[in-house]
Amino acid sequence: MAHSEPINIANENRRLGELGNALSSVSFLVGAVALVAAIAIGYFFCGPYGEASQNGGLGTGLVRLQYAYLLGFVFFLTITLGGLFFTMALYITGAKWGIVIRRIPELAARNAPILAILSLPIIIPMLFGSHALYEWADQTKYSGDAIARAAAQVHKEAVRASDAHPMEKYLAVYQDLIHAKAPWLNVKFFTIRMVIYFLIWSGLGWYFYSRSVKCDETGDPVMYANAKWMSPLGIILFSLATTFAAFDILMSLTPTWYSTIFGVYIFAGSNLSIFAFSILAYRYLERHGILSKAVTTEHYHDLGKLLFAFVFFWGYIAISQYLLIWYANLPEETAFYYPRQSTTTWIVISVLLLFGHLLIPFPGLLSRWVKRSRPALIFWACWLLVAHWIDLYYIIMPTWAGRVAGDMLHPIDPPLPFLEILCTIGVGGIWLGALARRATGISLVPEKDPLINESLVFQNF
Amino acid sequence: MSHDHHNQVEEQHPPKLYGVIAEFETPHSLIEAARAVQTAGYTKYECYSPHPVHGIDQAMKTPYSPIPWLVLGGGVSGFFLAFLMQCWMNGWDYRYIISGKPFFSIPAQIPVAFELTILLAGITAFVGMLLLNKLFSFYSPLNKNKTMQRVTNDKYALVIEADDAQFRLQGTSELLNSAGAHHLEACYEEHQTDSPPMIFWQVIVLLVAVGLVPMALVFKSSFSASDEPPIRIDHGMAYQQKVKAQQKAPEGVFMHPEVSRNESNRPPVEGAIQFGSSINEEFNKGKSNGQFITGFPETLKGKLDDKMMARGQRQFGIYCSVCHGAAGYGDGMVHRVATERMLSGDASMWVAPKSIHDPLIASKPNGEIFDTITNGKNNMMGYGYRITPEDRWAIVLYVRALQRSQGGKLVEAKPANTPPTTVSR
Repeated sequence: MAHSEPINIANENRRLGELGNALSSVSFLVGAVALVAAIAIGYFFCGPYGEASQNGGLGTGLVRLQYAYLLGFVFFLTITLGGLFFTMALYITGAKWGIVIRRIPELAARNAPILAILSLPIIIPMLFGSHALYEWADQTKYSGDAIARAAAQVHKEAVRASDAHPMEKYLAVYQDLIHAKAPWLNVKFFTIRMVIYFLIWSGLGWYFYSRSVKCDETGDPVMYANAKWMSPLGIILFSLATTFAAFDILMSLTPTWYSTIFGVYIFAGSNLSIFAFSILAYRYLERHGILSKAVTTEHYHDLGKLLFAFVFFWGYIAISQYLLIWYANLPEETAFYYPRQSTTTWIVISVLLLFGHLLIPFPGLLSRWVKRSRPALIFWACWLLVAHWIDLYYIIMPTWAGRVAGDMLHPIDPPLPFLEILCTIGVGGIWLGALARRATGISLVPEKDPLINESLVFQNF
Repeated sequence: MSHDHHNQVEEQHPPKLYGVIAEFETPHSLIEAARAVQTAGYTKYECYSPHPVHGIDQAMKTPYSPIPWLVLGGGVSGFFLAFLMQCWMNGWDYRYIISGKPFFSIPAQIPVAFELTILLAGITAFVGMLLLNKLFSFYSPLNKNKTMQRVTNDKYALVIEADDAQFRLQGTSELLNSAGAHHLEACYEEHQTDSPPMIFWQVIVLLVAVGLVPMALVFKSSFSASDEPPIRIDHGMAYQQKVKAQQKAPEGVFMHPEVSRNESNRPPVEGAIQFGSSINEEFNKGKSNGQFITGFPETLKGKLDDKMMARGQRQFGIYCSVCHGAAGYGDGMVHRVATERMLSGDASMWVAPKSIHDPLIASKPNGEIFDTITNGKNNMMGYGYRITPEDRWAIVLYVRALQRSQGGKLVEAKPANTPPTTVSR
């Protein structure tokens, strides 16, 4: 490979062509079928385990469907956000190696408007008064009304003065805390914020994608310069939007809990998933003879390095979050971990996450050989996408299980996640279909980027 | 070849041939030459370039560096070392309760384990790199060579050592010429020895010896006593530019505008009652009209019951018994340990605490005992700041009970209905 002749990008097959149409049609179809199946199962099987529930409305399959949908939605939202960040990171660092593999992350980021549409099934029921997902969305209870708030405070003081278990006391404080957070956690403001987040993400995704595609046609280096100029600003906006979105969409599932590192935690998972997705996507293209010479082992190696780095970064952030909460041992903070360690099944899922997301892939990806071997890298990319999915399951589903049990701290054991998997496939089908449709009309590599030649001959030491 | 063999003048000690230096103009030609030399079967040769050259490792068929394995070993040993260390320190040697966690708890060990993993891996990478690159060698005949000096700037070089089994001056030179060498040069070892002069070692030994002196002094001082104040290289937090209670504020310290620089304390707010200056003199000072009271203050009337006695016993056990002993004979644990240390020469002076059964003390009025508890006496410190007045009075009550119990007469037990007969002790 040493100083071999530069690959001529013009000789490469760099368009999806017919494959793109087929891929998007199949994706849309599979996605739609999966979503319809999920809705049907959710509708006909009402109880959490498929039987009739004793707990009124919360135990029904349609409620679980909402959580399952949220899981699928957030899974692809994180990939999109990872793509957006990686694109901006390539610009802001002036990295040359990654130009060849920039298009897939760009396309993923360009999917933000699709996710804005896909977020409607979450937001619209809330606007109509549903509080199945978020307890704080119960407008009749947490309207910010002074009398209701005062009643909650009186109740809290009464329980606090008793000899109850600390966690029981927490439950008494629980409602008062939601009242206190009402100015931020209310449906109106939540909707406004979601609109702002998606405007930021969609705007940035469109901006970087359009600069890059325009450069394909004209070869105008000003496009690169514009995008580079925009990237620091974009990263600031992205970080704020992503942090607060993580607070709003995921952290507020446990409305009393707060962890300032949580945005970074989701950010770590986002990056991990875009690198895993990129590895799979470029391998898929390579198998179909697209960009088979342009994307070399060197690029896979670097994607593998980043994958490895974010495995550890995720672990670092997750341990930091856990350690501080474990040490301080404050009820309103431990309320996040308590239900996740309350039954054997939830403990197994927690330990699965620790091993599957950190302790096994870390040594697995350590070797240079693994990162330069296509099959090994594909294996770890798939593994980590699954681990990331379990991570989101671990964040989202205990809230559902807790609300079914009528006790946030003692959730029911999770049932087989067929509904969650169906929803993930459903959202993923639409997401991937949109991506493939957009990718069909364009080159899959920023072919006239001013740095493309340096990226093509890039080598690791 | 630009150099011929050295002529016959230095024939007594013919300079040893170190190897052949071939100079190249481009990294590409260096790679080609490396490939040719590798193919010809040479093993003792090295490529030199001012920057990393892609593909040179493949051309030279360099085996993979063992550094990654060394770093892995360093990291793994750091990880387990950290766990062992903390297991021994927290779980065994210095058990200390920290926010109610178990002595050995894995989450608490993670940060140190992480840091030590990184530290040992990093040190292994650094030291291993130095050792494997032989960066500790003092001398190489290549160092003074003009061609090689250009290699740090804009030239590329390939050096084949004369020790190589394949090495023949003529044949090797031809090989390098045909591989595209721009310039060839034989390199000779200038000196027969490749170690530094004797003075170098002498200076090293001297420096090491001198360097040991401060450590020896530190070692000595940890086994000897001194009357001198400790030597402070850096004052650290011992002396600070800050206001201390009852002292003049140092220059440069910001002061509240209401406060004079001569007194650090702000004047009390109007109407404030200073600590210990209560209006209830009896209760708070044990005095009435300046005289110690013999009984108990009026405030406690009706409260001098079993409950208060039990309270006094408890507080006496907590605060007083450590020195005065549980029964008040002045034989508390502090006294016993101090006596032991004095006898073994560890401590110089110890004034024994008073026995509360001493007739002199037994004859003191209640108020004076209260005052002693509050303000201390001789070596005894005052406890007014940590024991509430009510508890101090409870202690006085208990002390009185103790004195009576020890000073009384032993009475022979009799059937309940017969009057007791007094027996002298």
